[in-house]
Amino acid sequence: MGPAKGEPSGNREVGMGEVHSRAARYAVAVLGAAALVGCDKDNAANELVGELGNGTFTYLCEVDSDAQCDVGEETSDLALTNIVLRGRFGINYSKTIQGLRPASDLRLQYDDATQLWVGTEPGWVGVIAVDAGKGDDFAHFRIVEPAGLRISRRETSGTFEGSLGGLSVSLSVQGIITLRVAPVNDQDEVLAGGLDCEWWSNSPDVADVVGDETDNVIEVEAKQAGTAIINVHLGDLTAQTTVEVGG
Amino acid sequence: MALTPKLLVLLAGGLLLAGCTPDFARVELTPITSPPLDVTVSAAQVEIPVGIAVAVNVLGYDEDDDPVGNIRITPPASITAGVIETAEPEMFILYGQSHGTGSLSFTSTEVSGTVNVPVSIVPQQ
Repeated sequence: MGPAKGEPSGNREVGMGEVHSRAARYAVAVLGAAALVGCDKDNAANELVGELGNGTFTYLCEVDSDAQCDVGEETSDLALTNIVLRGRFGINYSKTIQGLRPASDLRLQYDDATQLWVGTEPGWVGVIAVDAGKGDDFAHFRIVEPAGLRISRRETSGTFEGSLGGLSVSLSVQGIITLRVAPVNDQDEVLAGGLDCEWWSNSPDVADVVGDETDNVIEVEAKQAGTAIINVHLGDLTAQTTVEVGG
Repeated sequence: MALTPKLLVLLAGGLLLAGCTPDFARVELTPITSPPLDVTVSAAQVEIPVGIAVAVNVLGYDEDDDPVGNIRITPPASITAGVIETAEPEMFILYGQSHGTGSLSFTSTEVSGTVNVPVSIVPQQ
């Protein structure tokens, strides 16, 4: 079983040897001491030190629509432990172990088919690294109901005119703009986790979506003068941005 | 076979010795991690929110208040509280699987008897 594999949890009897206190060896939980060490799709590595100090849990972006790993300069805004409800993601553990076990599979489930984790209830959930039937370490992640979507501009090519507030875009014909959508919490902080994503234009002859429509980052190409509304579904949420194309 | 007086004495002595062996009497539970949500961990009660894990140091004592080793913890029959041992012999990870109540049963291979600690797995607030 690989380090990011899930295993079913259940009740069983467990044993312990001679009792003698070594509690002082263990530091208080280091939750929240996550070290941000950069993040992109090829090397997504937000680390969370286990609460027993035995290992490190690493968040992995495994889905193209995961906003956690879109733009390197935005990673400082991201709270590692905040994962969008029903978002898909991977977890790696720094040691070779038997597997990872959710404290409650009512809150966090492992999909064997996709080999991805999915948060199924808002709130905190512990993930326990298990080796040879024993708990090696654990960490808590926070699953968050998204408060909304945030659309932003990443970059442009061609001629870009006007300002962006995430709502309105002006382009010249044949101009291309890159848009990004991300789920955010009620503090407008980007949430990690990949959700089903779909972009479309209501007027493809004015401005059309090009590229992978299931990615949360997409290009919009201006075709002719007019106004188009670019729509995006991300998970259960929908957002729009208006594109005005000049002559 | 008839019981001779000598055999009766031996038998009575054996029973007396067995009766003098102190039973498992109590446990001390000390949380050694700080979960993101409040937990209660004591010999009187364990209360953990669903989805939360906490590492606990467990000490056991017999009726003479002598330390007891080789402790085992059996979680409730219903899937509410989970227990997993660690590489450290006195440390266990307790976690809330689903909402409900029951008892954690502490036993030892060194002495007889069971110590039960009520456990509640509560919804997250």
